[in-house]
Amino acid sequence: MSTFKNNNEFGSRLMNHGLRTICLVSSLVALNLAGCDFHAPQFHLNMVQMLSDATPTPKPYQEQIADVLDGMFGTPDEPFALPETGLDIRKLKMSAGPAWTDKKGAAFGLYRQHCVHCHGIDGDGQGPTALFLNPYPRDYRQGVYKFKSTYNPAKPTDEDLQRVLINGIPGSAMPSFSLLASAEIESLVEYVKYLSFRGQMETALTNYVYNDLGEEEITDEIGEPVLDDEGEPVTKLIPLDPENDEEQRTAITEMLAEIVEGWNEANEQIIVPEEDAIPTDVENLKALAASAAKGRELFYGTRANCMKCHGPTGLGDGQQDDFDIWNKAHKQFLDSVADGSGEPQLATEREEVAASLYPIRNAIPRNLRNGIYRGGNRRIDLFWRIYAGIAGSPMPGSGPASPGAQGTLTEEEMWNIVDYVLSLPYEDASRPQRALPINTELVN
Amino acid sequence: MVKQLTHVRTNKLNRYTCALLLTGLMLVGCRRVTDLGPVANPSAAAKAREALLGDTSGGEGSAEVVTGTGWATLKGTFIFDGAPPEMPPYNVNKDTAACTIHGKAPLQETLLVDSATKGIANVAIFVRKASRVHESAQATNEQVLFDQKECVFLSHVFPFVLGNTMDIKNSDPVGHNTNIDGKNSFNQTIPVGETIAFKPQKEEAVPVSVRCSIHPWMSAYFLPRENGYVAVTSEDGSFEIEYLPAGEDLEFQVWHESAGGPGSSLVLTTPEAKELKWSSKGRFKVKLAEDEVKELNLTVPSDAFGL
Amino acid sequence: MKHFWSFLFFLVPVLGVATFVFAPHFNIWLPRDISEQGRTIDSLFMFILYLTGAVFIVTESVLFYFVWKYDGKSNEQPVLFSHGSHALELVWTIIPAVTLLFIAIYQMQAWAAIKMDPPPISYTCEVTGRQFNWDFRYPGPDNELYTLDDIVRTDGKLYLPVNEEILLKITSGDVLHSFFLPNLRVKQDVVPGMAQKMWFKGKKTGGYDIVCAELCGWGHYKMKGRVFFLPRNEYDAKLAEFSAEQNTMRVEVPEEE
Repeated sequence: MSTFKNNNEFGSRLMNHGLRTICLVSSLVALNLAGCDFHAPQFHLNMVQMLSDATPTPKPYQEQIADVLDGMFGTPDEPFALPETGLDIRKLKMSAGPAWTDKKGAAFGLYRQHCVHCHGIDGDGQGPTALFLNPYPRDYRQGVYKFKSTYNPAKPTDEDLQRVLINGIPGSAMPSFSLLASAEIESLVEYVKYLSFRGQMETALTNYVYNDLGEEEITDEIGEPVLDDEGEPVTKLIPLDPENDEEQRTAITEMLAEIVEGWNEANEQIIVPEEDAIPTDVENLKALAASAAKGRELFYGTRANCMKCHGPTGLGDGQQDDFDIWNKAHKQFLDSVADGSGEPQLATEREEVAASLYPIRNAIPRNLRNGIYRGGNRRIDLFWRIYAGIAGSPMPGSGPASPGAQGTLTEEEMWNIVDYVLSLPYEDASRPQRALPINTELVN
Repeated sequence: MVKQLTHVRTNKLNRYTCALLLTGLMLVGCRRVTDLGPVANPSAAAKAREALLGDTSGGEGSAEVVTGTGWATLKGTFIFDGAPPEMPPYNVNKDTAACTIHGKAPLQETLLVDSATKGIANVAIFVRKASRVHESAQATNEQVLFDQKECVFLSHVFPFVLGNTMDIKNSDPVGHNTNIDGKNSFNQTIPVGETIAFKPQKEEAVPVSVRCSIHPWMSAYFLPRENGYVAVTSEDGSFEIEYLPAGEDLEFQVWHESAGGPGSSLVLTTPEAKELKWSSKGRFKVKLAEDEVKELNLTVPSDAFGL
Repeated sequence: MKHFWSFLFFLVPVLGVATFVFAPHFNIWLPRDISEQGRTIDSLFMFILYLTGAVFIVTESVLFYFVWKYDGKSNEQPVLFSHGSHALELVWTIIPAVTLLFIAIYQMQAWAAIKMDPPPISYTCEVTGRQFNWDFRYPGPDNELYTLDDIVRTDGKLYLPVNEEILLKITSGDVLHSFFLPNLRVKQDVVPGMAQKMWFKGKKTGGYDIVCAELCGWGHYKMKGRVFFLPRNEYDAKLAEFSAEQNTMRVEVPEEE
C-alpha cells in the first residue's frame, strides 16, 4: 500500500515538472503551426468584389487575377511597379516588407510598423484592430480619398496624403505621424498610392474578366459547336493570360494607363479659389460676423441645404440613413447573400466572406458644434469640403463638379458658409432661429 | 518522508484546461479574417510580369473586324408572363409635405408592368460595341433634362450619350442632392427650382445608381454610353433602336433593375431567347442585314426577376 | 549543488543593486531635467532611492542568510513553526511607519508646488488626449480659450515659451490617458469629463518627448509627441504662423514637371 502511494506521489512530482514544459512547448508549437502565420504575408483578393452580384468571378479567374496582380505589383515583401506606373520603387521598398532598422538607423518596413494593424496588409482597411475603430480605417483599394484638394471624382495629390499623415484625422483613430522623417512620410504616401493602384487594377481586371472574357463554346475542327450528352454546347473559360494573348496584354496596359493617368492628373484637378471671391478681412470680427450671418442663411436655406443632414442645430442629427461607398458595397454584398441570389456555385464562398465582414455603419453627418474637422481646420480645407463635397461619402459638393462646370453656389457664398461653420461651435445652441424656409417646416 | 509535506498538489485537470484555453486563445487571437480567396502563384506571376514588361506595341492587333455597310433597326417588346406585381409606396420619412401627393407617397418603380399590354417598362437594352456609329446615334452636344419632382426622379432609367450635357433639375420645393455612382462620380446639391449642368465623361457597362442622400428612398439609374445605340422600354414594354450598323455581329446587353442575373442583367431561358443564344450575363448577339427591321417580341417569365 | 537556490536568489539583490550602480554609466538613467522644479523632484527621488536601497540590501542579505541556513538539502529536521517575537515585530513596524511618515511630510512642499497651487495665469494651451494622439488648442491672439481665434493643432507638436510659467489644461476625448513630460518631471492622468491642470517652467530650448503614461488601448505605445521650448519671440512668431496657416485661403499649385 505504502509503496503504491509513494509511486503515485513520485509520479505526480514528475508531472509537476513535465507538465509545465509540455504546456509551454505545445502551445508554442500550436502557435507556430496554426495561430500566427510566421511565413511571409501575401496579398489577398477583394473577395467582396470577386463574389459580388455584379461581377461573379469563378475560381480559376480569381487565381489568374491574383497571378496577374502579383506580376504587376509583386508581394508585400517584394513590391514591384511597372515603369508606366511612375511609382518610385526605392520609396516603396522603404515601406514594404517586415519592419527593421539598418545599421545607420534608417527604418524599413514602415507600412508594417505604423499602418498595417489598422489598414491591413492589402490596404483593405481590415487590419486586426480595425473592428474596434469608428470610423473604420480607410480601404485604399478603391483609390477614393475623402480629404483632398481636388474635385470630387479626382484623386488626391501627394500633398493631400502627406497632410493627412502629418495632421492625422482628428475625430477618428488616425493619429499624426509628424514625428517621422519627411522621407519616411513620402515613402508611406508612395506605398499607399501603390496599394490604391493595385486595388484599382484588381477592380479593372475583375470587370474586364466579367465583361470581356468568360465562357466560350468549344468548337471542333470545322467550327461546329461541340455538344454534350444533353445536346447543350460545351463551354470553357477563356483564360486571363496576358503572356500568350496579345489582345489581353494591350487591354491590361490600357487599364493601367487609365488608372495612372487619373493619379497623374490630380495636380491639374486642384481646386484653386478665385482671387476675387477670397474674403480679405477675416481678421475683422465685424466683417466676419456679417459673412457668417450670410453663411447661416445659406446653411438653413434651400440652396445650400446643409441643414438637411447636419441638422437644425448643426449637431449632425439630420439625415442619417445613407452610407458611404465602402459600407454601401459591403451592404449590397451582405443583402445579396442574405437574399440567396447570385451565382449558386459561389454560395458557400459568399457566405464565408459575408461572415468575415465587419458590421455595416451608416454615414453620420458631422456634428459641426464640436469644432473638430477631420480634413483639417484651415479655412481652405473647409472650403474644399464645401466646394467638392467629400468623395465616397454622402456629402455633396456645392461647387462645380469638374473644372469649368456649373456650380450650385458662388465661391463667395461658400466662403460665407466656411465662416459660419467655423463660428458654429461658439454659437448658442438655443439661439432662436428666424422664420425658417419651407423645407425646415417640412422636417417634422 | 517529511519532505513531501511541502508539496502542494494542484488539480491536474485544471492545468490541462488552462493549457487548452491558452492555446485556444492564441489560435483565436491570431486568426486573420481577410485571408480568404486564392493567393498568387509565383511562377505564373513571374511570367505575367515578363509579358507585361516586354514590348507590348508589337503584334498586328486582333482578328480582322467584319464591317458591313448600311443600317438596320432592332425593335421589340418585353412582355411580362405572370401576374403584374404590386408596387409598394416609397418609404417617405422626410419632407412629407413636398414628397407626397395628397399625403400619399409615390409608388416604387422597381418593376413596372403595364396592366393592359403587360409590357415591362425600364428595361435597358444597348449595344456593347459597334464598329460604326450612324450620325443620328452620335452625341449632338445637346442638353438632356434629368428632373426630379415629388422626390422621385422622373427618368427612372436614364440613358445618356457621352458628349451631351445632363441638365439636373430640381422641380421640388425642397432641396436635393444628386449622387451618381460609378466612374463619373457626381455628388452635388441641387437647390430648389434650379438646374445644374453636368457633363459625364465615362462610359458604364451597366446602369449605375443615382440617389439623393437627403431623401434616401429616391432611386434612379444612369446609363452613359459612347453611342446612342441604347434604348429603355416605354410603359408598354416596347423599344426601338434605329440605324444600327448592318452586317456585323452586334452584342446587346439587356438589363433591368430587378432582374436576377449578375449585375441585374436580364437572363432569359425561353425558347425564343435560346434561339438568340441568350447568355447568362443577359447578352445576345444578332447580325442584321442592310435595311432590315428585326422585331423581337420577348416574353419574360416572372422567375427572371426572382419572383 | 548544495546551495544552488540560495545563490540563485542572492542574484536578485546583486543584480538589482548593480543595475542602479551601472545604469547611469550606460546613459539609461533619468532623462535630462530641463525644468525648474525637476531638481526638487530628482533629489526627492534620489533620497528615497538611497533609503529604500539601504533597506533593500539589508533585507535581501537577511533573506539570503535564512535561505542558506535553512536550506532543505542540509536540514533533515522537520520544519518548525513559532509565533515569533513581539518586540521584533514592533520594531519593524514602527521604524518603517516613522520613515514613511517622514517622507510624507518631507515631500509635501514639492507635491504642493507641482500639484496643488497652480500659478494665477491663464491657460497657455489646452491638451486633449484621444486614442492615439495629443491634440493642442492654443488660445490665440485674444489669450482666451474656446473663441474663434483659437489655434488647433493635431500634429502632436506642442510649442511653448522657454523660461516662462506654463499652465496647461488637460482633457481627454475618450478614455483615460496620462500626459507625461519626462524631461520636465511632470505627469498627469487625463480623465474623460475632467479638466486637469499642469504647470511647469521649461529652462532650456529644444524638443523633448511627450508620452502617454496610462495604458489607453492597443495604440498606447504610439501615442507620443514632442514639446518644443522656444524663446518668447520665436514662440510668438510660431503662433502667428499657425494662426495664419489656419486662415489659409489660397493654394499653391505645384508646377508641372
